[in-house]
Amino acid sequence: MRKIINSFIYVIWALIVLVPLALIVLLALSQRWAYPALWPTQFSSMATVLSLLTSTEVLSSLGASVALAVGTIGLTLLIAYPTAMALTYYQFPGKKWLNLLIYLPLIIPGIALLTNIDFVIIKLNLNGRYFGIIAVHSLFCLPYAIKLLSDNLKLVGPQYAAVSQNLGASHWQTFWQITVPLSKNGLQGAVMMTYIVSMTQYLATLLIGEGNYLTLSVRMFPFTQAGKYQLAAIYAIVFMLVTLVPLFLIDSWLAWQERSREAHVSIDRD
Amino acid sequence: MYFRKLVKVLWVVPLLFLGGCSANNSQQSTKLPPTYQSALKAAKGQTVTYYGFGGSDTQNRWLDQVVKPMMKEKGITLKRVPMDIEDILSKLTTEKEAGTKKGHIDVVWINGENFYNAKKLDLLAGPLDGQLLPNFKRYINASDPDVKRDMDTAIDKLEVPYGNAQMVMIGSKQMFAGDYPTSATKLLDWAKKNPGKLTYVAPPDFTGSAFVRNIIYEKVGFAAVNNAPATKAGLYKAIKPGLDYLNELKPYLWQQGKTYPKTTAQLDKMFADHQVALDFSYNQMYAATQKDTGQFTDDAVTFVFDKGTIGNYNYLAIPKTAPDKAAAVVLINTMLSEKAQEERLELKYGAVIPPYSATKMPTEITNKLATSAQTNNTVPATTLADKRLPEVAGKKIPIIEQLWKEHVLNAN
Amino acid sequence: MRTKPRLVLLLLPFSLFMALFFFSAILKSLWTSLGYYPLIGLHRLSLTYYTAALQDTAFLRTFMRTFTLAFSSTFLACLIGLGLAFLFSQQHNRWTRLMFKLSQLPVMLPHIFVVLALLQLLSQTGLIPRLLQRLGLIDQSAQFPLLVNDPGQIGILLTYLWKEVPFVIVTVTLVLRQIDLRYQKVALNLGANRWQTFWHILLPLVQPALFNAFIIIFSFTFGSYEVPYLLGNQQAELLPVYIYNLYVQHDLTQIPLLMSLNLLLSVFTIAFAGLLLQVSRWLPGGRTGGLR
Repeated sequence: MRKIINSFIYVIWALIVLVPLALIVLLALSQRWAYPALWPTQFSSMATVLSLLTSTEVLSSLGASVALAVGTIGLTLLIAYPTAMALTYYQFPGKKWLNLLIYLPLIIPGIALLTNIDFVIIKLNLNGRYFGIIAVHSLFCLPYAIKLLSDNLKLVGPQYAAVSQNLGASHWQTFWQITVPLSKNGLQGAVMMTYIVSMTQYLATLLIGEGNYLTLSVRMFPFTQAGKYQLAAIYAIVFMLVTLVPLFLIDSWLAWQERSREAHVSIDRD
Repeated sequence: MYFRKLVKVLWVVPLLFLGGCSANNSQQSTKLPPTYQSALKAAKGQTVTYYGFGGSDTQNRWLDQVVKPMMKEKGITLKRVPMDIEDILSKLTTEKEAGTKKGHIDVVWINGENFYNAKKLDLLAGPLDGQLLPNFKRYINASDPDVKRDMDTAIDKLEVPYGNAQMVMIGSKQMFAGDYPTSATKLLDWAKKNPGKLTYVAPPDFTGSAFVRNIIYEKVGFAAVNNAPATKAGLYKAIKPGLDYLNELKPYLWQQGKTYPKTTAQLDKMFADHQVALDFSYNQMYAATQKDTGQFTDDAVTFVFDKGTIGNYNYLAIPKTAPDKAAAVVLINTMLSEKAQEERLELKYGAVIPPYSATKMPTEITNKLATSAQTNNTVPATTLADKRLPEVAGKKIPIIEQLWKEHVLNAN
Repeated sequence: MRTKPRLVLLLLPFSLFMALFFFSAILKSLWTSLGYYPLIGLHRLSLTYYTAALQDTAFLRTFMRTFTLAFSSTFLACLIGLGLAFLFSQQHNRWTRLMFKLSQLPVMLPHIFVVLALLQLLSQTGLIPRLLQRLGLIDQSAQFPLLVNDPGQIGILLTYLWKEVPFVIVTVTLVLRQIDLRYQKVALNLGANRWQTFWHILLPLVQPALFNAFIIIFSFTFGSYEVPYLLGNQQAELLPVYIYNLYVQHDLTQIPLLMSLNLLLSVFTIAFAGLLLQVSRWLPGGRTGGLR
């Protein structure tokens, strides 16, 4: 009985997740799909869709998106990891406040804040530059990254690191060989969220980027606003592909590592 | 304790540089070139950046496939950045606040309220006129009302028209049975007989807002709105009959007027699905372009109110902080050229009517317009010109939108 | 071993970064909201914009409406997400792994996609009404309840749930994966039933992560305008849309008001987040501080 209910929930959940996605794919392919047809009455030719998918505009914006996302991941982790360690392993006055402060970039609504960030970036002479944009992207990624990492580090606990240092390992050795591998799940989550948040930044990329980085979001957003559903759907598919494929690869790689490590351990035991 | 000190020090950092130092003061802003010839020469090998609404695929295609190659021939690279006008203005305002002399935006697509705001803040470079732009001189009368004033704001050579827009209604042949409501009165009568089959996009959407103003014109006339003071009380008094009409119409609208579509795209879809009988557009040939892409069928017929509909122009301007004003001038002149404008009449490029003055319109374009109206079931250009009503002052538009919200949307 | 200088070193990147890019911008918002806006000749500091906003009943009503929606959608997302996360981590087999993978999908896509799909599915001439009509359950599309731009904000709620339930699932599952399942087994061996194990062992363990998720989602739904802008009902306007419409008008005399509205919204959210963190500390999971 329990099993049946579970499977039922699985199916419903899968439908809820997949139907909208399938719909977007259909939308990208359909030329005409007016009420009351249940299925597109006219499909775009494959050639049209393919040429749209591989147009220089889509490809160049894809490159821009990925370049910014990769930089953002680097910068975000560089800042988030030490912060998460401090929040997890240390007690210090003001920690409560810091815990709250971390959420701030999420809490303050984007529009008003962005015009002021733009002002600051111009003053710093970073507008239109790679570093300027990834800095602003990182700002919006940090809350996710820090929280995911610190939640994770909390569960790992400092014991292993302490043991490692008692055994004579240096701080760096401990960090790279104990703390980082143990926080793998948190890191994975942080990288994933950062990648996504960076990929979806629209106004920030546009304002700070000075038109130098026309990412997928920058190109897609006007179409969704204007209701060019088919075009928006095509960008959406590209977006899904570039988001899902790398994250899937990371996931598989980690899973593979896990399995090979488990294999080692079992051999050792034998 | 270290942490506290750290916090103190860190609060000082932003204060320091926000207060004083500026990184950009060393730059000088450039001036508009003296003549078109000098602009052409100076612009060779440069990149010009165009900023404008990016949600119109037809407009994008026109820029990418027509204007871009034309610019390339002149040795100039065109870069198109999709950005909404409010974001562009916010960017230019921030640049001004930060003391930037040389920004990144060369040409912007602007009009109406936004032009009013940009002019007030002194963001735009001028003079842009026939002296500098040969195609402006050739095709446009400097004395045309739409060249002198944009939504009642004196243009003062700070922007140049590059496209003609006019409100049109698009009706379903089947639902109206061929009898289109060409006045507010007829519209109300039809609505009463067919409740729930009409709606309009809620202001402040551009088109929805224009529809509301058009109804107000029907009821009180343009002059009454134009003469009213730009205050809430003054305008309310002037436009009240229009708001009353909208309230009378409200219970017969889709969802009894309790909710409205948010975007023109939504209304387009409702129209295409025959959920409502009437759609609106600021592009005279919109029905034709929609048919071309398969969104609408031959059922969509364009018409205008007997008393006329609101018309305006799309304009181009050069910000004061434009880094390459010479290339900007060349771009504007190219976009105004007969070749570019004729191509733009193609459905795939949006079928936008040129901003040329009636007396200076090249015959080929006149002919093309005539054939196009016939084949596409749209209103002929001459009729449109006859039925063209002016826009009210840009600063009045947000007030009218606010009044609509208070007295129509939220009226009980 | 855990010396102060190392702590400072760890906190330095974050502090420096935030001071440079974030607090400077906030500071500028604050000055503007207090009426210091030299661009249009405003130089005197005052609290007028704040008092004006707080005395405006329309604003306060909008505020309450937004809070209610944000809170209920966040609460539902956490509840459903938590339930599904536990269900998916009960067993470790191919199906549960697949479910977790599926749940990652919505997290990765921007909200705007969901809006796109939802408009096609649930508007009155959307796919679901078409299907119902074909099945003979309704006669015409107008009989289908209005779920988009509706007065009850159902469209917005559904969009947020589709996006945020998976976020909760992913966050909670990442924690659950880390937890030694032995705790659960020990508890079960000691005679605890499933419910007791859940309530006394698992829930406290995921509680910090759950509260984090709650705060993140709440802040987002309370402050972002894209979804309510496209799917909201005009008569029941939400705060972010109210602010966005002010921004779009680009009337510079309104900018100080805009900034003060923004900061009011932010201060409220911060206070609320602080309250939630405090509540989390009182609850069992907060006292034990996760595993330790």
